[in-house]
This record gives sequence, structure tokens and C-alpha cells, in this order.
Amino acid sequence: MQISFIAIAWSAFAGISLSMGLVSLNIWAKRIRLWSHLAFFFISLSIALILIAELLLLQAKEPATYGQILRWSHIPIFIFIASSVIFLRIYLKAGRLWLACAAIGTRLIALIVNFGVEPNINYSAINRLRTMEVWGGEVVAVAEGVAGRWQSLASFSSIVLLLFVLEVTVTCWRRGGYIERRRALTIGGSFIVVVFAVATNAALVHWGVISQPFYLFGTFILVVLAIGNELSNDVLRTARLAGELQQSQFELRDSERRLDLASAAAAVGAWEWDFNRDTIWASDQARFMYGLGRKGPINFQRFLAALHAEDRDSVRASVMQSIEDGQRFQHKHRVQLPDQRVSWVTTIGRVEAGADGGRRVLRGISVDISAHKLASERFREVVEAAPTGIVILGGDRKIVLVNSQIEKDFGYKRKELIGKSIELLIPQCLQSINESDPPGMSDRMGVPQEVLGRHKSGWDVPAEIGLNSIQGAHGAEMLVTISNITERKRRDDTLQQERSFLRQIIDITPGLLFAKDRTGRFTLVNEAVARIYGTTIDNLIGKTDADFNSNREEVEAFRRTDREVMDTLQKKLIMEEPITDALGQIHWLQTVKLPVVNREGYADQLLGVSTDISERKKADLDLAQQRNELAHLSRVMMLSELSGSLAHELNQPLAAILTNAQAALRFLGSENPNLDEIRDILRDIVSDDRRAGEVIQGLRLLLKKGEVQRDALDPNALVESVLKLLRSDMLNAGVAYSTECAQDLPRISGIGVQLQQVLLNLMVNSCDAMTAIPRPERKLVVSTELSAEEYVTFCVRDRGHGISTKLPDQVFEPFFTTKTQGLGLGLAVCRKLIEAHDGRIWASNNKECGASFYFTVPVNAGDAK
Amino acid sequence: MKGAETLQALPVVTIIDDDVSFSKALVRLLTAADFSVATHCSAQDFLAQYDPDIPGCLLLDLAMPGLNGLELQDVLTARSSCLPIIF
Repeated sequence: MQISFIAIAWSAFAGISLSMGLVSLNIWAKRIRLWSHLAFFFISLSIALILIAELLLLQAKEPATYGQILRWSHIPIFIFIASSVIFLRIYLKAGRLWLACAAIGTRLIALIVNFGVEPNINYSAINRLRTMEVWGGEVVAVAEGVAGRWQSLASFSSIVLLLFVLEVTVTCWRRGGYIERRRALTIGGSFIVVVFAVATNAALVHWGVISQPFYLFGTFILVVLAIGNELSNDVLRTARLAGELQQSQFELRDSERRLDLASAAAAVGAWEWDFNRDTIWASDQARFMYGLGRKGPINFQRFLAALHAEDRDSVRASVMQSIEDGQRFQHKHRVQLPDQRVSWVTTIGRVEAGADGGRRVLRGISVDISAHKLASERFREVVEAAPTGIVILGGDRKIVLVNSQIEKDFGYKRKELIGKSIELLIPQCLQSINESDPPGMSDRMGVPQEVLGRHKSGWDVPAEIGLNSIQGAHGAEMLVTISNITERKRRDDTLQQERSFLRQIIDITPGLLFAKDRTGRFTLVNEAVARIYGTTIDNLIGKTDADFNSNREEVEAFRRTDREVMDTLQKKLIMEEPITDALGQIHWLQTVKLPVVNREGYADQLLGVSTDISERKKADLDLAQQRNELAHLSRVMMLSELSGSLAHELNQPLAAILTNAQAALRFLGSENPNLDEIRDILRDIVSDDRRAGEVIQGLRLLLKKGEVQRDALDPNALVESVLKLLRSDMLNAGVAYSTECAQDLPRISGIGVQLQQVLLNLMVNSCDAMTAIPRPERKLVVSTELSAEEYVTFCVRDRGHGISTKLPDQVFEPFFTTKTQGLGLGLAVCRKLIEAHDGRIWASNNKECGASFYFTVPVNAGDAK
Repeated sequence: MKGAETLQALPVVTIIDDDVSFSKALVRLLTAADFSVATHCSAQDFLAQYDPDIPGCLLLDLAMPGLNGLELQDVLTARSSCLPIIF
């Protein structure tokens, strides 16, 4: 058997067509919505069937067989036309519906007619089959017969189809765009060519104009290829799109995750409101911020419900306004969190195109500014509470903030100042700052200056201002602190006044006031010091005593005591010290020096106060002289009173001497004078003479006038000496006396004769006080004892009438006397003498009877125990 | 006192004086003149040993502790003594 080229080619075409159709069927089966693929499957299937029918026609042997095959071949032709029309409608989305229906309808009619006539619609009779040789020596069958009556119906149907295809192609072309035009050219073009060629060929063959076999159906493969090409392009593009989509989904998910992380880290929440669908997408951070939970759909109503009740209306209004005019909106509002906390959130958003291009959405971010808000509220509170006026100037040097202290100090209301220049408050505030300097660059920044501010009412407000540059929300700002120093000024003035007042006091003080540092330089002196040194205060400051005092010894002494005071930190009283003045005269000073202790507990200065005691010293000397004279006078008077007893006291030894001398003479006159006896007599004479001498000596001392000096004296010996003088007087007065002297007493410092005088006076008084009582009761006791304060106390106690005055010490007043012949000076003189000894004298009545007189004399400094 | 015992029945000069030195001198003088002498240093002392039967006289000091001269005289007068007294 010979291999038929035609059979191979037609079979191959049919196979290609069918396999392409099956691919599309497969695609359709997996993605049910691609109806164009199903339509193409039918096109391919029908073409494969048509090609098989054509192959059978070409190889037909009998006219009857030929007629039957041709008849049945109209079924796949109908399928081809119907599916082609459907495909074009679906795939190219073009073609008028009525035209499509007409094309299918006429063909359906033609198909029905085809099965109504014999042998088919093309032929009313096939007479014979002619053989015809084509390429390669192959022989095919060609029918010869009478054309059918209804042949023109089939041709009409083809024309309708052609019109439809033309219309589709033109519509498609007109849409423009590369893909549309390419489809119009390939698909529309291939249909036009194939339908036109086949229809024309069939008509011509049937009408006998040309004679050739039906093998033009093979050109249908063009349509299959064109559609297959477009569809496969589609599939490829779809696959690519799918890949891209997947990729972009990954990227979207990544970017969403990144956005979430970033926004969580930055405490920024992102959100998007599709206001047409009323769905809100919110990042985790945004959901957290609004307390909306991690899952669940959100709409605008739910969002509003999350807000603080008072802020809902304003947020709604702001958002609606933004949607309406497309402007960006920004809003600060409170959020009522589920745990009852209220947080502050600031939101910025605007209307943008949605993810799918067409739809508009409102998109934005929200930031939790509670901490910031809290901080700024705290800042505001701190600023308000500050006792200092605070002004903040913006970049344009205009006031952006003032605190209440400013209102208080300057009388303006806050709103009157905002936006104004600081010069309104402080006219020369910024003069020191070069206007061209950037804020913060001026040297004067940060250094407080004293300036005059202006109160709203026009008066001056003394103020101290400080300028500091700060970094504010809108760039560099200037912080101006304004302290009202009216009070301080006034205090300063008062202080100044007080200071000059004190200075006056210091200067009018007659005493010398001075302060010196460790090197002996004067840091403070008053007029009195300047006067002594014959210079001015200013000239003295910073100089030393040595610069003005020519007496080196005095200067040395001053330095010595200065150092002592500063080293020991003890104040020192210098009873007397000489100072030579500018004229060479000596002044006597009594000085107190005090250390001035600093915080480290170390004296770096000393303060001295000296009193010029030159005059007093002279007066004291005069007084002492007077006192001594008075004492002497008093003694003389007293001794004259005692002269009788004293004469007796002197008489006794003298009488004994006389008698002894007479006796001796008698012994010598006898025949055997007893020489031993005479020797005894002479010894006694010597003794009595000495005794008489002592009495006279004592009297001489008491009566002596002139130089007096202090000595260290034995207090008990003092008592004995006085008792010796008074012995006979007391015998005469019938007074029994005794002593109660403490043993081992230290010596006292005093003038012996004056202390004897005091004791004498007190004892005589006591004897006098006892004249009125019976003799046996007249008793006088003299006692001594050491008292705690380094004094020896003497006491003379009697049993007399006591002191009748209410105040016993009155007896020491001058001219106080109970005696008829007394001047009343005795006790007054005693008091003077004891006080001159730095002692004390007093009197008191005894419990039983009589009085006691006491006086104290200081223990001699060298003998203190 | 010893003197008083040795010169019995003779007129005795009695000295009463608290000044030992003076009475001692007197004793010497009177003894040199061959008088019997007795001494007492106080009036009380004398009264304690007073014997009215011994003749003599008193040399009496006026100022003495205890009884003075005049008071002693008053006491002796009260006792009806006729001793002559020289002050």
C-alpha cells in the first residue's frame, strides 16, 4: 500500500488540533471560570472532526458514501461555527448579540435542512466521483453532481458569520492597546481569512465554477494556531501574574510585619479605613493603642466607641472633613482604655488610593502621646509653680509662653503677651544679644544681668534676667528667666542703711574697735583707733600696729596677745596695757580680744575692743589715796578711843620693869646678894621691855601713814595680833573672847594694817554691843575658815543686841551709827577697805542673840591650795 | 601658894594679878622687904583659898578676867572681911 501524504497530513492536523483542544479542556476543568478555554476545546474538536471528514471525502470511492460523509460533516461544522461565535464573544468581549445569534441560527437552520434533503444540503444529486491527481502523484476524489437548492442558505450563513467576525475584529481593533489590536489581527484576521476562503471556495466548487476537492478546511488549522497562541500567551501571563501576585503577597506580608514591628517599636500604630465598605484595618500597635483587641473586625463605630466620650464628636467631624476635602487631618484625642485608664493619642491621616487602585481609603498613623502629654503637663505645672518669672521666646523672638509669676510681676494677662516682643516687659532684654546671632551663640547667654523691667502700669520693676537657649518643639527657642528683685533691692538698701548705721555706731564709740588678720593687718577699725594713731580709717586698713606705733615693746605685746587669742580660740581680757599715741603720749587701755572663728573652726581674724582707761586709772589712784587717808583717820580715831586700854597695856610691862628694878636694888643692898635672883630679875626686865616695845610698835604701825602694799599674810596671826591689842580693853569691858581658827589656812593677799583695822573695828563694835548684858554672858568669838572660792572668811560673833535694821548691810552705809559719840564712819571705811581687797563684807543676826560680821579676803595667788 | 603655907601666923601680903610678870616682880620686891607674900592669878582663885584668920593686906589689880578688883572688894565686904586692900 502506498503511503498517502494527504492522509498523514490531515491526520496530523486533526491530532494537533485535538491535542490543543484537550490542553484547553484541561485548563478549563481546573479553572472553571475560563469559558473561553472550553469554547476553544469545542473549536479544536470540531476542526479535528471536520479534517477527518474531509480526509474521508478525499478518499471516497462511491458517490453515495461521499454524500453521506458530506452530510454528517455538517455537524462538526455547526459545532465549529457555534463555538467560534461563543469564543469570540467571551474572549474578545465584542460582537453584537443579534449577529451572533443570526450566525448560529442560520447555520442551525442549514444543519436541519441538510438532514432534510438527499443526499445533503450541498448537492441535490451526486452523479459520479471523479479522480484527480494532486501533489506527489496522489489521487483524490472529487464529486460531480447537481448543486443543492438550499446551498445558498449555507452560503448565507457563512456570510453572516463573516459579518460577525468582521464586526468583532473592528470593535477589538478600535479599542486600541497593543494586546487588543494583536488579538484582533491574529484571531479576527485568521477567522476572516479562513471563513472567507472556505465559503468562497465551497460556493465556487458547488456552482461548478471551479473544480477541486474540499481540502481548504485544512486552513482551519490557522484559526486553531492563532487562538492557541493567544490562549497560551494568556496562560503564560496568568502564570507570571500568579507568581508576581504570590511574590507581592509575600512582600506585603513582610512589609506588614515590618510595619508592625517598626510601629510597635516607635509606639506608632498604623491604620486604614475603607470608608466605602466601613472596614478598618489596624496594626497590632494601633489595636493595642485603642484597646481594640488583637482580633476581630473593626468599623468606624467601634473605633469611635474606643475614644473618650468627650472627644468622639470632634474626631468624627475632623475625619469627615478630611474625607470631604481630601486634606490631611491631625487630631489629638483621648482614648478610654478598657482598664479605665485614659491615654492621649495623636492621629494623622489623609485620603489615599486603596491597595487595588480604584477605591479610596483613609490611611494614617496614631501615636500614644500620654507620656509626652504628661511630661508637658508636668513641665507646665513646674513652670507655673516656679517662683521666678519664666518666658519662652520662639525662633522669631516672640513670646510663646509665660508663667503666672510674670503676670503677677508685670500686671499683664497671659493672652496680652503671647506673640508680643519681650521688649514689652524688659525693654533692654535683647540689646546685649546681637540679633543676627543664632540663638545660643551670644556670650551674654546664661549670665544673669540686672535690668529694669516695665510694669503694665508704667513703673519700673527691678529684675534679674537670665537668657538660655533651649531646643523647643519648633527649633531653637530662648528661655528667659525674670526674677523680680524689688524685694531684694529693698533688702539691700535696708542692709546698706543698717550697715552705715552700724558704721556710725562703731565710729562714735569712744572705745577702740578693731579687727586684725593673722598677719596683724587691720581689717576693721573705728574712728577712735584712727584718732590714737593720728591717721584715717582708710589709711589704717591693711596696715599693722608697727606702721603707726613707735614703741616696739607695745607692738610686740599686742602681737603676742593677738596670736594667743587666735591660737587658743579663747577670748582674753587684758586689764591694762599701755599704748603710745601719735603725739608720744601713753594711754592706758583695757582690752578684750575675741577670736573670729570661721567655718573650719579656725580663727583667721580677731576682734578687739579697747577702752581708754587712762582717766579712770588716774581717778582710781586718787581714790585709793583718799581711802587710805580715810582709813588712817579712822584708825587714829579708833586708837584714841582705845587709848585708855592701850595705856594699861603699856603700863603693865613698864610697872613690872620698875618693880623688878626696885627689887634688884634691894637685893644688891643686902649683905649677901643673891646674884642668881638678880640675874632672873634682869632677864624679866628685858622681856617686859620687849613686850612694851611690841605694843608701841603695833601702835606705830596702825598710826603710820603713807605707802601701803599688799603682802602674803597668815590670817590667824592677823587675828592674834588684833586680840593682843584689844586684850585689856575687853578685860575692862568684861568680855570673854575666844577664837575658832581653822588650821593650815593658806596665806591671804592683803594690806596687813588695813585688815587689822577692820578686825579691830568689828571687835570693838561687838564689845560695845554687849555692854547692856550681864558680864558672864559677854562673849566674843573670832573665827577663820577657807571658803570654796579661794577666799578666807573671817567672822566676829557676839551675843549683843544684834542689828536692829531690816537690812543688816545698811550698817555699812556711811554715817550709820547706834553710838551716841560715833561718827558712823567705821563700818563704811571697813567696807571700802575690804572691797579694795576684792573681798566682800556683810553682817547678819544670830539665831539666838547677837550679830555676826563676816568678811572675805582672797587667798594669795601663790599660796592657793 | 607654897609661900602662904610657910609663913603661918605672920601677916601676909596677898597679890592678886593676872599679869604673871608684874606679880612676880612684886613678890621679889616685897620678899626683899621681908614680907610674907602670897600670889593669886585671879579673884576666884583667891576666894577659893581665902582664910579670914590670916592677917595681912591685899594688893589688887583692877582689870582682870572673871571678877575684877572692885567686884572682889564687894565680895569681901559682903563677907565682912576687914582685909585692907591696895589697888
